[in-house]
Amino acid sequence: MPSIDYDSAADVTERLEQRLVESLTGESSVSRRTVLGGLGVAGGAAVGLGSSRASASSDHEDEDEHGNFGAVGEYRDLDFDPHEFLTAFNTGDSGQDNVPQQVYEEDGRTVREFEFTAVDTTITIAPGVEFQAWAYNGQVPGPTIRAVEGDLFRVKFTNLGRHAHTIHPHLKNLNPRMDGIPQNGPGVLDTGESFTYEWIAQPAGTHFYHCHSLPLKEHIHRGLYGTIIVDPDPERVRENPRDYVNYPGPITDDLRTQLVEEAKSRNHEYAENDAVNEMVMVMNSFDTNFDGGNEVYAANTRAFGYGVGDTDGNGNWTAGETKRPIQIDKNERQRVYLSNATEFDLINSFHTHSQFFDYYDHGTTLTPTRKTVDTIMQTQAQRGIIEIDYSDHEPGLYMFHAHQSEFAELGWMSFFEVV
Amino acid sequence: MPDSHRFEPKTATIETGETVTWTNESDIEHTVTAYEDEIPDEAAYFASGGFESERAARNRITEGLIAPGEKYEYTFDHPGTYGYFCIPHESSGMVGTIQVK
Ligand SMILES: [Cu+2]
Ligand SMILES: [Cu+2]
Repeated sequence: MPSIDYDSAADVTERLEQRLVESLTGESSVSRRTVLGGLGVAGGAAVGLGSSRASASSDHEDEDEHGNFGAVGEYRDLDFDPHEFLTAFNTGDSGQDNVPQQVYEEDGRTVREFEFTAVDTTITIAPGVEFQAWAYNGQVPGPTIRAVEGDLFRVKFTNLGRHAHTIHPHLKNLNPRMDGIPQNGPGVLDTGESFTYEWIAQPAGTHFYHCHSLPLKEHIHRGLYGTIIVDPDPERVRENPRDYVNYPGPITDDLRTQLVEEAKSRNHEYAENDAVNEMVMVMNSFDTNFDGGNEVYAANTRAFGYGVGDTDGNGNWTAGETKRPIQIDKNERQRVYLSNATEFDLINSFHTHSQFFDYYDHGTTLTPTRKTVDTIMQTQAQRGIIEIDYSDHEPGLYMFHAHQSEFAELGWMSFFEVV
Repeated sequence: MPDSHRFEPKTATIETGETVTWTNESDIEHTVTAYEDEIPDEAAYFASGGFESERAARNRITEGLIAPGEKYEYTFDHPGTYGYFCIPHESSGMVGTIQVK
């Protein structure tokens, strides 16, 4: 039986979600299905694709208007599950089916190769609320790619979408041609064009990538962004411990050992890393009516996606329901690779209830840059690692959310369920 | 070039057993990809590239691309309404419908 806590948490999520969806779908609501089914264009057995003839019907203009919402209801697109996205790391060895990838050695370096495509895709950001996104490999946020420091990322990018795009990495990249900006290298890639970006994975940390076409704010808020994780190399940490601390004091043997252990826990090729539950969260937002302000906020795209839906109170959520808290094992260490992709608003933030955590800004150090805090803020493209320990806590629901109350009520409100 | 991102006509009506030919009259690549939940229950899934599910078509976009000047054909054996789209240009309004009588 659900406890009172679960019922009321589900109620609150439900009410906020309904309010959000109603505010969005009000009178300007246009269901894609309605558009699809309601036209009486004369039939024929030949269809021109991408035809440049004059259109016989005028529906195209209407259809193309911004803010094309579906009917209020369930999520229709099953392509994106925010719970799967949380732990979907593409390393070249393994990753998502929509990210062709391989790993191989070349000139003494490990190369992790990924195929990226940009497409204009429709995503679901709240039940029945669709957003006309531009997306890497059809998903928002884009795929999380991961390497060990010193490896080479080789990203074969093809732009299939209607607008010109790039991929700009927030890495220490030594070749200006590879910076993914309009002014350098191949510049922007028009529809049908390809380019292979190569970036050395450095420095160790959690990083960000995004399209750098102009107008930048449009290309980012439409969904062209994602996370890059560079795992520290424990052997390099042993040799150069000073590079991984923001601390001027002596590096004792104990400290060196501690830093190497920490690096192992961060490196996906070490067994120590398996003991940590790692999650990727991108704080994002959507300007659904294209007026230069956001109507919907989320961690990983779905408003209230990690909110409380239906449960039996024992951690068993209704089948097929993507809206549910993030279940965590209280005895496992929790690590969040957090970044902020929010456009238009100056900052975003991450706040945990009944809990304090350690924060590693940009993830470039192995000792925290902020110790024992319950709120941090990030400007756009800022990112960091959050380490949380729930071992003292009683099982149950613990909220985390943006501490801009407005963002929280417009979707960026989530729960951990400690079991 | 807004005109190169649409199906023309957007809705086509045919008889059961007829074949629809999509011809790429633009100078960029597109796909013809059925919405799995917008075709009659008894109908087989269809997509350029020959995929058996929408998921597979979305996962392997490049294999379903139809080059400029190329064609894709599909024969409709069951009456009903079929919704389909172009994977790279879905949110740019490149969606269409085939009505099979
Ligand atoms: Cu772009
Ligand atoms: Cu297209």
